[in-house]
This record gives sequence, structure tokens and C-alpha cells, in this order.
Amino acid sequence: MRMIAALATLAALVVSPALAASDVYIGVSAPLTGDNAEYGNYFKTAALLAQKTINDRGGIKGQKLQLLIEDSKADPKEAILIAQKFVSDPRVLAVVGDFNSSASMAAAEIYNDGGLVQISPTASHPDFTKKGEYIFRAGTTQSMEGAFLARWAVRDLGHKKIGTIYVNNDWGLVANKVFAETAKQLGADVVNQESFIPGDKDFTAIVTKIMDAKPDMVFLAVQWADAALIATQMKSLGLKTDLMGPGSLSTENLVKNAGDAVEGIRANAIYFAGDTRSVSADYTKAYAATYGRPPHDHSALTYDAVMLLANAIERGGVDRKAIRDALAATDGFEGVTGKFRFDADRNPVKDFSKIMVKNGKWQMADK
Amino acid sequence: MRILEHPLIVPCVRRAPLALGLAALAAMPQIIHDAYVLRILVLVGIYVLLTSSLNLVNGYTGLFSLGHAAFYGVGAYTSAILVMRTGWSVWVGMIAGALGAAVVAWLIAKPTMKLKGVYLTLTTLGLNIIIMLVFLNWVDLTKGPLGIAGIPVPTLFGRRLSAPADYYYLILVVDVLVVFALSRLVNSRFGRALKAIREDERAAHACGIPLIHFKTVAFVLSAALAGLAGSFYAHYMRYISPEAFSYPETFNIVTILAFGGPGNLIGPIVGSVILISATEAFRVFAAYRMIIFGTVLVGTMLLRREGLLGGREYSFLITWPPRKKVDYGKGDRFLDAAQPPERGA
Amino acid sequence: MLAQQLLNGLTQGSMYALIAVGFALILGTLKLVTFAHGEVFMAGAFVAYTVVSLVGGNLLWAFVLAVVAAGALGVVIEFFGFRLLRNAPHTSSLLVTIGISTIMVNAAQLIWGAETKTFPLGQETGSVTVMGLTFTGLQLTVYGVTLAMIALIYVLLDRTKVGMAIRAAAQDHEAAYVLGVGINRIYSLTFALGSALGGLAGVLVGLYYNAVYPTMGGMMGLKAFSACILGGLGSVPGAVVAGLFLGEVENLAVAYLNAGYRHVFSFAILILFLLFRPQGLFGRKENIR
Repeated sequence: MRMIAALATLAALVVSPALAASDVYIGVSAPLTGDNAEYGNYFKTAALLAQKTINDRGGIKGQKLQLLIEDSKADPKEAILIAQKFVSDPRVLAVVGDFNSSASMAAAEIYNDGGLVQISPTASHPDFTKKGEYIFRAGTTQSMEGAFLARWAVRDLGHKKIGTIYVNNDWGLVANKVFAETAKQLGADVVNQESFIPGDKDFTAIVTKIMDAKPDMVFLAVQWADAALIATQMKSLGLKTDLMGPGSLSTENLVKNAGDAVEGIRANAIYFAGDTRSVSADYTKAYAATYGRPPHDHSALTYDAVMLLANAIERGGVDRKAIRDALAATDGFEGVTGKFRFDADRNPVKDFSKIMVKNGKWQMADK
Repeated sequence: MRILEHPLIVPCVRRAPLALGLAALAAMPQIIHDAYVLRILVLVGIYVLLTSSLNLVNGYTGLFSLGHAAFYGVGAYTSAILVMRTGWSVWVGMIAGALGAAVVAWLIAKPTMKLKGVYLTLTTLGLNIIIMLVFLNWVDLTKGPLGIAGIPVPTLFGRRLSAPADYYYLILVVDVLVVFALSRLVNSRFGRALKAIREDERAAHACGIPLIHFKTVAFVLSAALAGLAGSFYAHYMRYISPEAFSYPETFNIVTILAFGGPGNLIGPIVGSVILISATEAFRVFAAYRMIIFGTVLVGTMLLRREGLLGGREYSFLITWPPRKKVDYGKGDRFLDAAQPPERGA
Repeated sequence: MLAQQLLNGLTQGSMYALIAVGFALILGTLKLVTFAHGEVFMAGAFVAYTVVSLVGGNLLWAFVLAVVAAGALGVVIEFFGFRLLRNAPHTSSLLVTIGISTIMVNAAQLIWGAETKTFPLGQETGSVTVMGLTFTGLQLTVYGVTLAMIALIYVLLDRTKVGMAIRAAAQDHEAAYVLGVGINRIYSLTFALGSALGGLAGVLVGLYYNAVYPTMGGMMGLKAFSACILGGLGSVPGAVVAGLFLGEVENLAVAYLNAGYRHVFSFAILILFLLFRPQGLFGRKENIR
């Protein structure tokens, strides 16, 4: 018996220095293949860049950061397997992911039960973080963005008659609902609310329908690629109206694709490439240098999510529960997408900046 | 060894491997404590149910339906909505899920079972898309793209079943019962009629088999089992949204069935075990994973188009006492291999 | 508004018709339903995109190479999905094409990446306004190509020897074989032709929406299906009319009902036709395996 105890002590002695010097692991669950692979790749590239940044400056408390990146295909079935894999893997300290709400929410049950922090950069379902105290998000919710935009459109810009187009998924539905409700409360007339199935590329029917109502402004709760198509099709159909959308539009790609069809479009910025704060400017430069293309707000949010976790590990130590508490207590963390603080429901509280396309470039909006 | 041939012992010996296998499956959570592996096994269990049920239509009856995920979805939504709105037991929800899928299938079967070949395939595919779009657009009932979250877990004797091992046992019991029921069904008069329809519809009709009626029954039964799988899925994932029940899911089920081998009871099981665990194992290949999946399907069709275990039927019982090989001639593929001729014949 | 919606429907319908024509040709001759047609369509768009981004704005080369590549893909698909499985049940062919489509979507993702690509061309194609309706240059191109293609197919099938052989093979491949038609060659050729048309449609649709991405073929392939069945299995003019019809129905559904149910309408019409008039608008009653 004593022999065994001695051996165990010996083993512990041999193992523990190895453990102390071992690396810090963060899991990433994202759709690297399938319909949402485009967004999963923003996750992957940004997470790798964050890893490089952290390790270049000496790691987390001297330990190297390692990423375990898994492909969820944005499928809830895959996401829960990954979640279980991460929860069962004692090395993993926290997880970034997933991209869409359905995968993130299905996985959240397991992360929360397993006591492992899950922070989704993009899941926008209002109930996502209510799944438990281990569930966080880095992106702002649509209810915050939608209300902000509605106030901007109605109160500041004075639009009275507004049409909306939204993509019929959880994100678009909530974005549109909150915007429309707030705009109505503020006294505007929301004349049309048109939705389309993700994947549709022909918006002429919707646009024609909206044209008939002659709105002063159209609100687009869509991703940038669809916004580019909608704007182009609006232009060719001869609909001239103000356009506004959430932070998903604030990418140079939109201007590149749609050209002068999006001149004057307004959006709130989640991530703004022209941001002059050093953390943001450095990131923008590093991303473009590493990947040869401009970053996207999803990649900025993912980068922030990894950085937030690294920061929480530095403050809380190598323990899942401590990391959760440290993350929840985050206050004033300078991220690429702004200063971070979490509310009681573990949603970030952030300010938005107002930007618009002027002379073919996103710039700060004058009003 | 003589004792093993005693008439009272023989049935035990014949069932021994099956019993051992079931015991091994039952002991699995005691041996494997890794929740990740258990969750993979639960997923395998769901696909065993899905492919076995599709097998009844696509394997035994020889129809080619491409709408299975729709019934899977109807089961999931029926059960989730019913349990959440009424507060009834999850077990009632599961039965309702199966019934709901059966009712939808029956409504669909009425007109579609008259169709032949590719017409039936395309109609079921179209219906799958339509049903998915209904889930997506009927926001008042299904919450549309937001999906239904917080679906309750089943309770048994006052205990919440929420650990991976609980779900493992639950799906194991369901699978064993379903496969047992199917083994009785396919070897019954009804099952033989289905196979007759598959082999030669006109001959079957001439023998007095009511084609449309039997096809309808097979289709409805198959849908009910898919509904049961969907209901299990809903209470296991605790969150459902429309895209899980879209036609690519049907393609997955069809692929697994085609790979394992339709027309027998073991093919779907083997297909699910191999393809689901391989998909997990190939996770490291990330981007190449689906290419491998597609290549497996193409390869199966080109090299062994009846699937891994297709082309014949198997019994879960072993032959005992060992029998000399009896040549019962060619052209008897309609004979049920699970029921060989009397010993000594 | 109605006139504008009908015009929108016409454009959308032309796209459906474009992709359906190639599909109908394959279906009519080989009696084979291919689930990979949408992916051939996608491949055509990607080849054109690659040519334009490598060589520059010469669209003619993009069209030619896309069509050739799509045709070659068609030959490959015919070989694996049909020639090797000539005597197999039809479901084997169906499954092979499902497998090929999975492979192609994911291969495209590996090669070109998952994000939506746009043609690096100027935005302006000019537009003409007639009686209050606006036609863009691209729209007119789409109409033009659709018409030209229908004419081409018509001439090919009706006025050439190869066309006659294709029609013979479609009617009765055994009899055609006895009469000296090289069936394998004809099947290969038909598949290549149908796929080339699919690739051409891909380039046009990619250009029109200025969006090329790996999963662009999925829904389009299924719409081609619907148009084909609606038009009468394998009837080329039927596919065109049905494609236009579907485009109009969808746009009217969006205009007067809800855009969320747009696809429900095209598939519901498909099912109604299958149930009550399985031979479609123009088809003869004949057996597809």
C-alpha cells in the first residue's frame, strides 16, 4: 500500500512540472464546411491570428496558447458532439463557438452542464445566454442593435415611412422585429416587412413590392452579400431610397460588390476598419497582412472572443470555474470591437458607432 | 457437446450470440465512461432508427422515397410542441410524435403511393422541402427560424434522464424493440408481400396483393418510426430548428442505408455504426470529410451496389446444430434465407 | 407593379429554363435523373469566375471555357453514374449522382473557398426603359441566350444527324443500337451537351446576380427538376415553358403572398402535376426508369 502511495507521489512529481509547463488550450467550434463555411473560416482565421498575437507576446502567463479547432458544419448534432469532446477533454479551458444560434444553443446545454465557458462571437438568439451561467457572447444582440438603428432612423434622420427586408433565420427575424417595433413606437410607419429564405438571390419581387409603398428608407436585416444584391437590384429597378442595416453590412466587401448602388447606406459598426484605437488598427493591419484580405466583423468578434478568454485565464488562472468568474467580471477590456463589459445575462454592453458609405468608402456618419 | 443439442438447450444456443451482443451493448456505459463516446453512440442509435425505418420502404418494398427527414421533423416538432404547451409527459409526446408523423404520412400516401419509380422519389423530395418550409414559416406554431429551445427531458420514476448514459439506454431499448418488431414484421405474411412487391410488382398484384394498400401501410409505419426518432432527437438535443429536417438530412439517411445495405435488418445497423463513427473519426480531415463521405457513396454503388451487407437477409440467431450444406438450387432469392428449409430436407 | 412583377418573373423564369433545358435533354435521352446537375451549373460559374479573375474581363473566353469544362464534367458523370451502372437499378445511378454532387460542392469549397465570389467587372451594363419597365443589359442578355439556346437545341435535335441519333436513342435505345447508332457515344454526347448547357446557365446566373458560391447549385438543380417534370419528362420545349411558368408563379407568390413560401409554390405545383398529370404540360406518357 505504501509502495503504491510512493509510486503515486513519484508519478505526481514527474507529471506536475510537465503540467505546469504545459500549454493552455482553448477550443473553437465553427462550421468549416457546409453552407456556412464562409463564416466558419472567418472564425478560424481570426482565432489563429489571436493565437499568434498572444504567443508572440509571450503567451498566457508564460504558457503557450493552443487552439483545438473543430468543424461543426453549423449542425446542432455535430456541435453537441464537439461540446462533449471539449467538456470531456481536461486540457480545454474554454470554448469559442459556435457560429449560428441552433448549433450554439444545442451545445450550450452541454457546456453549461459540464461547467465549461462557451462564448459565441455571433449567436444572436435572444435566449442563447440564458442557457446558463457559463454561456457568454461576444457579439451584441439584435435587440440592442435593432433598437439603436430604429432610434437613429426615426429620431435622428426623421424617416417616417420605412420598409424592411430580412433574411428568414433567427438572426434576421429578431433584428427585424426589434427594429420594426421600436420604429413604430417612435411614431414611424413600417409599411412593408418582407422576408426571404436564406440562399435566395433574386430579390426583384420583394423590391418591386416595396417600391409600390414608396418608403423613405429601407432597413436591411441581411448579411452583406445579400445586401449587395438587394442594393444592386434596387438600383436596376429604379428604386431610390435611403438604406440602413445592422453591423453585418459594415464591410468593404459590400462596397466592392455593389459599387455605387450602396452609396449613402448607413450601418452601425460592430467592427470598423477605420477605427484608430491601436488594438483595432493593429488587428486590421495584421489580418490583412496575414490573409491578404480585409477582416470582417465576424472575424473581429472571434478575435475578441479569444482575447477575452486569454484575458480571463490570465486573471482567473487555469481553472474552468475561475475563468468563468473572471470572464463575467470583465470590465473595460479593450477589444477590436470596442470596450467590453458583460451584463447580468452575460451579453456584452457596448457602444456602437454610426458609419455610412461616402464616396465609395465606409466613413463615420455625419448624422 | 451432445448436451448442446438437447431440444431444450438448442434454442438457448441459437440465441446465445444475440444475448451476448445485447449484454455487451447494455454494459457499454459501465465500461466506457467517456461521455463523448456515449454521445456518438446515441447519435448512432438515432440513425439506426432512421435507417431501419426507411429500410421498410426503400429496402423491403422497393420504393425510393426521399422524404424521410420530413417525418423525422414532424415527430420532433409534434412532440416538442405538445409537451411544452400542455406540460404532458415526454413519453406521451414521443407516442404523439410517432402518431403525428404517421398521420402526415398517411395523408401524403393517399395520392402518392399510386406513383411509380422516379415520380414517387421526386414527390417525396418535394414534400420534404415543403414541410421544412412550413416549419420555417409557421412562426406562431414552430417559432420559425428561432427554433424551439428548452425542450424538457424525460423523467422515469421521478428521475430526470439527462446524462448521456440515460439517453444511451433509452435509444438502445427503443432500437432493440424496433428492430425486433421489424424482424417479426418482415418475416410475416405482410413482410413477404412487401418483398414480393419489390421483386415484381405485377406478379405480386396478380397474386392478389393489394399494392397501394400495402405500400401505404409500409410508408406510414416507416414514417411513424422516423417520427419516434425525431421525438427522441427533440428531447435529447433539447433544441430543434427547421434546417435539421431539410432534404440534405434525407440524403444522409439514404446514404447510410445504401452503404449498409438495404433489404435486411443488419445493413442499416452496420451502416449507421460505420458511417457515423467514421464521420467522427474523420473530423481531423475537416474540409475533406464530406468529400470522403461522397466518395464512399459513389464507391459503394460502383463496387458493391447492394451495399455492404445487402443482397441477402440475415438472422439474428445462429444456426444450431451445425447443418450440412444443402443445395437448394438457384432462383430462390425470394425464399427467406432467415428460414431455411427443414433440417434434413 | 403587376407588369414589373411579371417582368421579374420572366427573368427568373429564364434562369430556370436555362438550367432546365440541359437537364431535360439528359432526362429525355438517358432516362436518368441526375442530382449533380446543379453542381455542374455551379462548376460552370466557378470556371468562368476563375477565367475572368485570371485573364481579365474577356467574357467570351470565360463562356467558352466554362461550357467546355461543364461538358467534360458531364462525360465524367455519365461514365460513373450511368455507363458503369447501365444494368443496375435506377436508384444506384441516383445515389451516385447524389454522391458526386456532395463531392463537387465540397471540392469547390476547398478550391475556391466558401465565400461568395463576384465577377471583377464593371457594375454598369446599361439599361433600357420601355413603357415604364426597366430592362438591364444583363436581363436582355439572359433573354437572348435563352432564346438562342432553345433555337440551337431545336436545330441540333431536329435538323442534324446527331440530333436524329439522340432522338432515336431516347425513343428506343435498343432499336437505335440495332440500326447502327453508337449508343455509348450518343449517351456521352448527350450528357456532355446537357451539362454544357448547365454550365452556360451557371455563368449567366452567376453574372446576373454577380454571386458565385459553392452551394449555388442546390436549389437551382431542384428547380430544374421541377421545370422538367412540369414540362413533361424530357421535353425540351416543355422545360422552357415550365421554367418560365415557375418563375412567374414564384414572383407572383412573393408579390401577393409571402416570400417565405416562394419555394413551396413551385414544389406544390410540381406535386400537383405529378399526381394529376404526371406526363406534364407537353409530355407523352412514357416510362422513366
